Amino acid sequence: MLLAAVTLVAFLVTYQKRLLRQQLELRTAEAAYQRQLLGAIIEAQERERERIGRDLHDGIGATLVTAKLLVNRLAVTSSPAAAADSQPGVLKLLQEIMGTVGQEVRNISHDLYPVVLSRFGLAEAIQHLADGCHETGTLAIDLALDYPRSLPLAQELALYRICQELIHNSIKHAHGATLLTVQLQQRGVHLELVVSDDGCGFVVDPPTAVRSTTSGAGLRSMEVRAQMLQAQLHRTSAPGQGTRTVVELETGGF
Amino acid sequence: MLSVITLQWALIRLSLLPIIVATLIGVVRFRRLTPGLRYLAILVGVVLVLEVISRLLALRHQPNLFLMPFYTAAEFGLLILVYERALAAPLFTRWAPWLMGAFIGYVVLDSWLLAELTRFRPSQQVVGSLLVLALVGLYYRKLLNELRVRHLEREPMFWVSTGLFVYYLGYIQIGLFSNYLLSYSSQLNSNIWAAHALLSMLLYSCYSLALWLHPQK
Repeated sequence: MLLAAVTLVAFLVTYQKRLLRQQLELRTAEAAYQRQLLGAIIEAQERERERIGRDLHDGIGATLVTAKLLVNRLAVTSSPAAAADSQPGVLKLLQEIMGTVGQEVRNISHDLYPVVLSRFGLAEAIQHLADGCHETGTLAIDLALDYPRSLPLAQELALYRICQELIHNSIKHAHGATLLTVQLQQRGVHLELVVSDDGCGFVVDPPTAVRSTTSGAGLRSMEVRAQMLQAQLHRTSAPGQGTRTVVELETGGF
Repeated sequence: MLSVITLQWALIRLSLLPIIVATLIGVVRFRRLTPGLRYLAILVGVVLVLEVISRLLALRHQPNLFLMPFYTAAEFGLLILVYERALAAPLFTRWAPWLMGAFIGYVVLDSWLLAELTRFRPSQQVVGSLLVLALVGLYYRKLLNELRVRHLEREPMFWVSTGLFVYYLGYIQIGLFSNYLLSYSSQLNSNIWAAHALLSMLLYSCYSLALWLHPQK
């Protein structure tokens, strides 16, 4: 009986010690992951601010400076005869410049918040993304959209951002790719977004408890959005075999 | 002296009560039990039947030790099934039927060769006890390696294993000297079997608790 009691107590003590150590490790891993997420969010914010700043400076800023020079030219033209000659041309140029400024403002606004999404829904917004990509002429896009029932805007926005990031990644990193495939399929409560390319591919990191700090901000941002959606994000790739990313979610439980 | 004897008899008689309680809990909760614990409920029921038959025979002053191989084989067979589910290890699942068959074969052979109705079979008792202790050891090892259970006190199989561990650690010594005790001194024999009754009450209390608890998800 004494032996049994001693063995049991020893077992319980060892078990509790190991359990506490395991919980501590889990908490440390969770804290590290939270820090990484926070870092990714801040990094994404800064990246976005930098992009807006650059767009404003290089695009609208430069155009407005040109417009200002033209307005100054109108103001300093002294002789009425010379003014009559040059005014129509300068005004036409100013009109064109103002039109360009308006378009640039719309582009920046669209990048900040896709108005198409809130007005026409996810399918249309993805179509719009594909059109934008098509215009650049870098990649052919095969689009398959089967999306009969709309989701709440927050969910659609997260899916849109993931899709935007994936398309952007393919254009930027999938060297040698000739075709980009985007599929959005809704079957009952199950929704699947697949973005794949036939580019150079890459070696996928093995899944670990804590995501490597070397993974890009874009990838981490997608993972955060997938977590927010309570979705599964699977990425398959291999050198020379392209990349395929699947986002799966059950829309009923959100 | 009389009070000691009375206490011994009371303990031996009372040892049936936890088996009845465990059987009742097993019957009431059978549908809600996990497959592994259902085998435990069946085991408790089988033990109750054998215990009742054995006591009826004892009341009629007839030998009841011939029931022991049935008890040993049924208990070990059903415990193998309980632990097969609890351990969920492919290697153990592959070997479990062979282990069960080999032990039951050994019990049948040993009982047939030693066809005495009035004597214990220490080899069966000791081998059975060692095998059950090995099962318990495997389960404890699994618990320690996986650390999936946050609250051991709410884990049914922990109580089953703890009950078996305490019971068989005591029983292995009783089994080893059972025949010797029978011929050495009836007083010591009664004392030892009263201690066995206590161990048995502890085991079936653990079984009752395990059958009563809701398994953790």
